[in-house]
Amino acid sequence: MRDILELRNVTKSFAGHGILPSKRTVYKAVNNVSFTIQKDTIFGLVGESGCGKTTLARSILLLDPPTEGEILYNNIPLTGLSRKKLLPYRMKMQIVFQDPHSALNPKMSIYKSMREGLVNRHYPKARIKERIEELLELVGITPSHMHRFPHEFSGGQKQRIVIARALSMEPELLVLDEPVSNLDVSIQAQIINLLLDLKGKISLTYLFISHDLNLVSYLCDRIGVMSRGRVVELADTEDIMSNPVHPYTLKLFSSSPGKMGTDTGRKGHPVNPPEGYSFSETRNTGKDTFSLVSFKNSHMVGCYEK
Amino acid sequence: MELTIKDLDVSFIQGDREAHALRGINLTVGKGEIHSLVGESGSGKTVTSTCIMGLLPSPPVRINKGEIFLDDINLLSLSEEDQRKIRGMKIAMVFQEPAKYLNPTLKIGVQITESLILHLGMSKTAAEEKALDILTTVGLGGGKRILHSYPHELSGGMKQRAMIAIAISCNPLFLIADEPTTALDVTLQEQILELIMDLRNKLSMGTLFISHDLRVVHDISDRISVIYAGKIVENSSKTELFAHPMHPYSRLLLKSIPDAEKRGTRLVTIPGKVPDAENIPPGCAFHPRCPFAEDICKIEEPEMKEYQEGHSAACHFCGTGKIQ
Amino acid sequence: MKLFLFILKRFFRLVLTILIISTIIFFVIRVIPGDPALVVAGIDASNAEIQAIRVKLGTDVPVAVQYVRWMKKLVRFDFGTSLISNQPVMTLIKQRFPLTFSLALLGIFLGILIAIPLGVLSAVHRWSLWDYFGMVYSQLGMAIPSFWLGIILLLLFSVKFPIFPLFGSGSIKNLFLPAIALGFARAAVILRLTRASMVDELSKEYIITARAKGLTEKMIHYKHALKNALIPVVTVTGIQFGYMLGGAIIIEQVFSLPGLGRLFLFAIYQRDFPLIQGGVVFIAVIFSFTNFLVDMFYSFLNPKIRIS
Repeated sequence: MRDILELRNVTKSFAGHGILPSKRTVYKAVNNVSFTIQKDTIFGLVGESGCGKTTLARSILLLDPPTEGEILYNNIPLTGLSRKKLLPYRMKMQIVFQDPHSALNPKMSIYKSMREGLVNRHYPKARIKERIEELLELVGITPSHMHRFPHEFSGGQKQRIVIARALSMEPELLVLDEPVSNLDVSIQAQIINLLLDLKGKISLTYLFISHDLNLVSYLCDRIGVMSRGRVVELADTEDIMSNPVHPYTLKLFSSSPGKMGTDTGRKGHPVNPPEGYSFSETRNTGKDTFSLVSFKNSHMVGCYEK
Repeated sequence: MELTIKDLDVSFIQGDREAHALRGINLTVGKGEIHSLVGESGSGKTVTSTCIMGLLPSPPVRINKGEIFLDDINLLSLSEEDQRKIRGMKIAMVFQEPAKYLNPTLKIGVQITESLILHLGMSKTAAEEKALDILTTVGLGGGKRILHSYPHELSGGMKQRAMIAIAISCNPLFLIADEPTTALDVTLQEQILELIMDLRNKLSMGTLFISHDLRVVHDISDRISVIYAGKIVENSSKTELFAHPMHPYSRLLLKSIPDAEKRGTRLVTIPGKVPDAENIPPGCAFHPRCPFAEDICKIEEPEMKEYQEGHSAACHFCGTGKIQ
Repeated sequence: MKLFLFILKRFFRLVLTILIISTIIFFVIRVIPGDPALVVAGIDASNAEIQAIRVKLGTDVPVAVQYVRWMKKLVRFDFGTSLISNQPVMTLIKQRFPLTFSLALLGIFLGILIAIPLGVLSAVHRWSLWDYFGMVYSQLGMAIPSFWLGIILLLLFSVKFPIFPLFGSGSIKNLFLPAIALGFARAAVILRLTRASMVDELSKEYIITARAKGLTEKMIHYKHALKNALIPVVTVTGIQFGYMLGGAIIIEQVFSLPGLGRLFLFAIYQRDFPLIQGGVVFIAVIFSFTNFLVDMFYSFLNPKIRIS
């Protein structure tokens, strides 16, 4: 399998305000993150609010280019490309946000909303309508409803439309940022099934961002756990579920409500870090000694050099 | 203290449009019991809680029929002034987003002590002493500093603790917690759930816990009522509900929750969406989405029936073996 | 400590603003084509006379030197000497300022006195008689020009029913009518804002919490909502006050009050450059200073401001 996306030491820092340079403390929202996503898989990024997962997503899509590090798409480095050269790659990576209500322009019919993107990428004019019908059909929206306005659809339907619009760019990578968090419980499963169905029909890779460990463990092939801007554990879903290693992952598992807390999570007990490493920074050398170290094969855990 | 809701029926009236928000709710929460009301948005959970609090503005709200008893006090028959005296004193409420539900320009201390001064007639100094105690109870030690903090100076979890401190300040007999952890991260969520259980033990308050999240409900409740389109469709102890859900809606809801064990299988979904309160289907409100529905479901509304001790459901086919 | 730091920061900003403003004014006046000395001297003046005026104006040296001089004088609040009256600009301003200040103070006071209670009542009892009264008032207040209101007030209360003196200055009686004329329109703006802001606050979630606590409606309105509702009102009121301090030119004209507005108006008529220059800086300083005070008060109302 080949990698569709590779992150090499991606850091996104934000500067504070102040006239004096000393006041401008740099805050690293994403700190030295590296991982790869294989084509046609689902990669899950889990973490609590403020851990940097959404910032990372924006960096990957180069909406907010990273401050340091490289992003490679099909082995082509995207960081440093000019806007014009970036454009074709932008289309290949689309994002779906949490809130479908604000993602659609309330004053535009669904047809118009979707048409915009297709026109932008010079889709043959004569085929646009047909294409929109196809896409809506694909996500389970009655194509004849395409002249309706967003407010005429329910939250779940809107999210389907947003997904259809993202698909109109014919992306290879879909970044899904908490796509079901704002939806009702009974609707969430519909959207998740839709995402799985789509993957069966078209070649798609997902980067699925969520705070919900249950959901991620159901859906994803590989999971990265993020905390305070760093990826602290990275492993195939089975490995991380059966043997969570990093203390933060354990904490996340044990506090997850429902079955998670009682069955899988609570049986997790503290695990020792790999030889020569520790989970907390033992001494302050001024150097960043944090890295992802292999715990077992491709099961990586983030720790500090002793 | 026991809270009993009998046949509560509430509509929202706007012009000639009527939204039937609650269609005969029956609910009993015993002393020291944590009773969860689970449902999706628009199912009527929040209308129920605000109705108990007497906070529904009328108009547009019209209470068609029903009674709410706190022991032998009929809450709905009280004058507005008497209702006000019960609020905060005997029944208290905790809300979803502490950041929004706390007054940004008043110190936490003031927000706690004002109800003590108003309801219990305490002096300012006595109220501050008491407030310190309460803060310790909710796990906000180092109280003096907190008393003099403004909400924005506290973290999200601390804000929710402060919110709870405000609610329990007058030792209420009954607590309504409306999605108190939905805006919080999982690690904080767990702490707040533990706090609510802890307070129940210490103060033996009855608690009505409102949530859309079955997993959270699983962790906290003694009993659970499942609400759909303004009506309770299933009521049972927690263990029973999770082990043997009866109503098709609860069954499907439980099955639709993704988790690691369902990996590789397709999630069960409930087709369609929650009906809006203006257009509730006739018969069983769930029938258009129900895979087991038959003709009778479209015409006749099923009654709540007790199928096992302490486990009731409202479905024509419960106990027939038809629902798999 | 935090509060002190905040005040210090704001004060620093105030000083910086004033420096920038006076620099801009200095250069803007230099950029205006034509030699002020020529304008002052008139067509018949000899070169020597013109040169003398230049020396007097200080325009005989390079601009950089002029700028340094201007700034040096500025820190001592010395704006030079008026060309017409030959008195220091600062002395003239000092003579006129108390009147304008009293007028503005009384005007804003009357405005607040009408606007805030009426705004709060309108918001609390929406669609009540109070609310309709408030709406009619704010419409009228914004539609009626203040000079017209001033004239009508004069006709009514000084001519027809001579309760207040027709002109003159010196006692509060003289200021009352112009203050009403001035405050009436301001009140309309503040009223609208108070109502909107109060309505907005009353629909916020923390009000539900207050109700759930069993607080009385009075406590909810005046202890919880009002303080939050006043936050935007304070800013706008402060800005309005700043405007009024700069001199209410028209009102001062209508009531023949010797205030700042009239002083600057005549300075413009008579091309009294030092006075115009000094006047503009003075207004700018007063305006920034009012804003500074508003910020202080704002931070008292809004605890969030203090740290950010």
